[in-house]
Parts: sequence; structure tokens; C-alpha cells
Amino acid sequence: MIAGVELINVTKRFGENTIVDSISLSAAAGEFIVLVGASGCGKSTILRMIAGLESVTKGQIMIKGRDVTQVRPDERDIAMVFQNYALYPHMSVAENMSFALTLTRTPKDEIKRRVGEAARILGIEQLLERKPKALSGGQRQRVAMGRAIVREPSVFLFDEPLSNLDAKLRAQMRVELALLHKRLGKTTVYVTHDQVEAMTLADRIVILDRGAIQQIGSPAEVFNRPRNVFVAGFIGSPVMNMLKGYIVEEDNVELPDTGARIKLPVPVRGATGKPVVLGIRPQGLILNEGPDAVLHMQVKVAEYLGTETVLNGTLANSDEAVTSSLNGEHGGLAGKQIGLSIDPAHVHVFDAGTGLNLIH
Amino acid sequence: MSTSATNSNARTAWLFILPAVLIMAAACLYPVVSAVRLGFYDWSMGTPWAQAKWSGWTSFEIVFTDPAMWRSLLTTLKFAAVSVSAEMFLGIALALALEGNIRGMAFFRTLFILPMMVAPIAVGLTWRYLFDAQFGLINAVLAVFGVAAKGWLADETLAFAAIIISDIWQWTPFVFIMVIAGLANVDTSVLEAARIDGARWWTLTTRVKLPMIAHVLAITLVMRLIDAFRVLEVIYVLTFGGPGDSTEVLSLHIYKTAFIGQKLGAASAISVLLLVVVMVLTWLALRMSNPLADSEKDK
Repeated sequence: MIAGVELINVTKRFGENTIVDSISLSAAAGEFIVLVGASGCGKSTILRMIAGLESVTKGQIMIKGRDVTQVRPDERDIAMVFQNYALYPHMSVAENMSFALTLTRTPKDEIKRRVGEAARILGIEQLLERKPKALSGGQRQRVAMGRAIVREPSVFLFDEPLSNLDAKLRAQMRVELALLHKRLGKTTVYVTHDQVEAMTLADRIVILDRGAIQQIGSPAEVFNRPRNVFVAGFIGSPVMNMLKGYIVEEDNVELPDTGARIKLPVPVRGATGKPVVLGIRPQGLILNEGPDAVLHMQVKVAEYLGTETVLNGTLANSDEAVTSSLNGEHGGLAGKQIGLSIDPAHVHVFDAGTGLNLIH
Repeated sequence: MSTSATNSNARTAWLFILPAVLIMAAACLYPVVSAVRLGFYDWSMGTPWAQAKWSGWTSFEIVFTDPAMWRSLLTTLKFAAVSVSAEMFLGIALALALEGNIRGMAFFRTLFILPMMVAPIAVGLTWRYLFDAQFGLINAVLAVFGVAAKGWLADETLAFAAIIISDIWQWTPFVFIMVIAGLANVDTSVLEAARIDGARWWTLTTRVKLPMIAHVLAITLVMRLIDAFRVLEVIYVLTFGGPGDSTEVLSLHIYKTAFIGQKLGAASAISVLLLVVVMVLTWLALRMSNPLADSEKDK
């Protein structure tokens, strides 16, 4: 099957700086791909190269099987939604949405039909005569999406489209985006630094760091089987606990500061004595006031969030920071020392040198 | 908020801006009012104001029936229309050509704005020498191409061209600098969106870029129009309105009426007319795109 978008060994350099380093990536037709990473990881540059706004130093970009590496942005069969909406301030909403169609000399009634249809889908029919200045952030966002929809492109590109909205509206637009994708079924490449957007919207997430892909996988895959320390630390909230230790008897990790031994879900063959980073999701640290507690934590701050309480503190007799996420209300634990046991399903072991996950 | 609190806030705001308003009113309105008042008196310079005679509408009647004044107004309108259009066109074209980061552009930008900084009298003198029929550089250059020497400042059409050329030379840089500053503030992602929408250079420029800096263009146009109607020094030095009255713009006509004809009342009456013409043109220009009105709407 022909991929919706395919990047083949794509590299981007600005002078001596390599921003994107030989990336290969393929989005199936109709797939929703989210590029996620910290700022400066190259995710926006990749999107801009797909759009044709940035030249490609090396490699190839294919859209629906056609090599578009040297093709002008408007001839790539894409539409893009920008972070700051990038609406034409001097045009009405209807003119903003129909601008591309007027340039291709689309018949007037066809333009009217498509603009009307997009406006109906997005619920902005009553705004068509307004100028962008007279719209709220959420409305501008809808117009920007409308402008993309009327072009009926093969590929939608989104560059952090929700980051200028307040939290409530962002959550609402996130749902609408998911519904819109379901309805239109178009290949979508979406850039964000927000892991919640990535987890909720993506068919597959591409996690980037310093211009290189760290992992590609479904939200469940990248959460449950992070390939390395970076992915493990990036995906999941609160952030995964990372404790230094070494492997003893293939299936235990000993933490040198506390002397605690933590049983691994699966043994790591031939790795006894190897220095590792033990990763435990905060949800995997369970309150245990009994004598069989594996770890002891000095709680400094307890953050009650309604359905869960996030405990921040350090391991007892150590200054290693740990976070535990407990169901229910546990605000009273602040300032106390507590015992914790560990859910093996939430345990990962990473090579201290390469950062690679040794058990998943 | 209660009405009384709103009122007291408004009062405080007024108190803050009152000094500025008073100074502006005194500095701007007083001369205008004086000029209008002077139009109703018959007064010569060097005589005490107490001896000035009330003449009612006489000065205005004389002025409005004087063909020389109407010729001068027409000359001014022609001068302003041709020079300001040329300056706007060239200034915008240069700004579009030189925007962005091209190597060495800072140097060229500085070079382009130099004429604007030269004192008008010096500009007039410079161009007078350049246009000189015998020793001028322009005729010398034309001679190289086998064109016979022209009496630039002695021929009515050529003299009019000469004052326009000198004005374009001096004021195109102003348009250039305003437009390039405007273009620098255009949101690049809007231009990128337009590229994705399929806009090529011409469409991008005429349907996106220039409309986005319409406010800057309107203000620039207004400022240039106002200045073009007030132009005096360069023409004073270059042609002194001649040959005949072919280059006698309104401000020069006012000057001659006041200080050569010693008819201050009539000169004031023409000044009032000039003010009205400039106000009407400014109003028309601001109707196209008024930044002040738009910023009001934003609130």
C-alpha cells in the first residue's frame, strides 16, 4: 500500500548544525502521526520540510508515492495549520478559507459549497463575514482548520495548533480534532511538545530528541515498552522515577545508597554486576506500611489532584528524588516517612551507558 | 465597577493628558487660528498691528477670483500627484527588492536614506548646479550620448520635471524606510500560509504583503501628501517659481504674496485654502485605511 507520507533518510543542516539527522518515517494513508519532543528536537523542521517551507539537505520526501522533495509547497497536496493560526488579517473568514481556491480558479459555486461545508463541520457558519481580529483564539483556530479543510488535501500538517489556547479550550479542541480526523480520514502529521496531545490523538507517536527518532510506536507501546531512558522519561505523567543501581543475580537490581533489592519482572541474562538505571513509574510505587516494604520514602510534598495524590520526596537515607502516585486522597502523608512496595508491571531497566531498555 | 468610580477614573486620565493636550492645542491651534484671523485684516509687515484694518471677506474674495492663485493651486496638485505617486511606487518597489537578509544590504539601506537627511536648501542648490545649462552634470552626461544641451530651468515643462525629479530624489527614501519597516513586521507564517495556498511572488505581494501593511502605506501617503503641499525651500532655490509661474506651487505663491506683494491678509487667506485642501486629501487617504480608527475598534 502506498504511504500517505514517507521520509527517506531526510537530513537538514543549517550551516554546521545538523537539525534533523537522517530520519526515515512512513505514515500510512489515513494515519494520524504525532511528532513529539522537547523544543529544538527538530520536530517543527521535519513538518516544515514536508510542507516544502524548508529545503531538504539530504534525503527524499514522498507524498502518496510521489517524490515531492523539490516540489513547491502548493503543489504537494498538503494543507498546514500554524501555531499562531497565520490567518490573513485583511480578509474575512470566508476569504481566508477560499483564498487557495480562488488562486486555482475554482468555480465560484464550488468554492461556496466547500467553504459552506467546512464552516458547517467546524461550527463557524455565523463568522464567515468577520475579520480574524474580531474572533477569539478558539474561533481563529477553527478558521485555520477550515482553511486547510476546503483545499481537500491528501495530507494535513499541524504545527502545535493548540498551544496558544487555554487549558479548557485545548482539551475541547483536542476532542474535536480527533473527531475531525475520524470524519475526514486524511493522513495527518501533527507536531506538539505536549505528551497528552500526543497520547490522545496519535495512531502512532514519533518521539524525537536532538534531531533523531528515539522511538516510533502506538501510545500504549511507547508508554509500556519505552525503548530507552529518554522515551521513558518523556512519556508518562508524573515523570518516571530513575534510580541508579546495578544488577545482582540477573533478576534483581540493588540500589547502592539504600541497599534495597528490587526484583525484576524478567531476568537480564549475563548482566550480573552491570550498572543500570532502574525506571519505575510513579503509579508502580504502592503504599505499604507493613514490614515487607521494599523502599522507604521521606515525603516532602503531597499534591492532591482529585482522583490521585502525587507524593514528592526522596528515598530514606538518600537524596535520590522519587515520586509516587497513589489513588485517592493521601494529603496527610506530607512530612512523613512511608513504606512502598513495587508493581513489577511498571518496572524498567536501562543500560546506564547506552540508555537502552534491557527488558522490553 | 460603579459609575462614580468610572467617572473618577476618567477624570484622573484626563488630568494626566491635560498638560499634553494644552501644549498641543497651543502649539497647533494658535497659529491656525491666527492665520484665519489675519485673513480678515488688511495688514502690512512693519506697521503696528493696531493699524491693521478689518477687511472682512475681501481678502478671500480677491484670492478666490485671482487666476494666479488657481494656476498655482493646479501646479501644486500636479506636483503633488506626480511626485508622491512616483515616490510611493519607487519606495515600495525598492523596499520589496531590498527586504530580507541579503549580504551588504545594511550598507545599501543606509545609502538610500541619505538624501532624506540633507537640508532642503542644500538639496535645492545641489540640483540647481546639476541642472545648470552650461556647467551642469546632467547636460554633460546627456552630451556623452549626443543629446544637445537643454535649458532645464529655463523651459516650463523641463523646470516642472526638474522640481519633481529633485523631490523624488529626496523623498523616495522616506517611503522606502517606512515600507521596509512595515514589511519587517509582517508575520512570516502568514506569508508561508500564502505560499502553501499557492500564492506566487506577484499574488503574495499584491494580495497579502501590501494589504497587510496598508496602515503603514496610508500613513506614509498622508505624510508625503502633506509635505508635498508644503514644499517650499527646494523650489525657492531651484526655480523660484519660474520660468513664468510654471513651478509656482502654493506655498511659494503664499510666500510671494506675503513678503513681496506685502499682502499678508491675502497670503493668510490662501494658507487657509491650502489647509482645507490638505485636510480633505488627508481625510480621503485615511478613509482607505485608518490605523487610528482600527486601534479604537480593537478596544
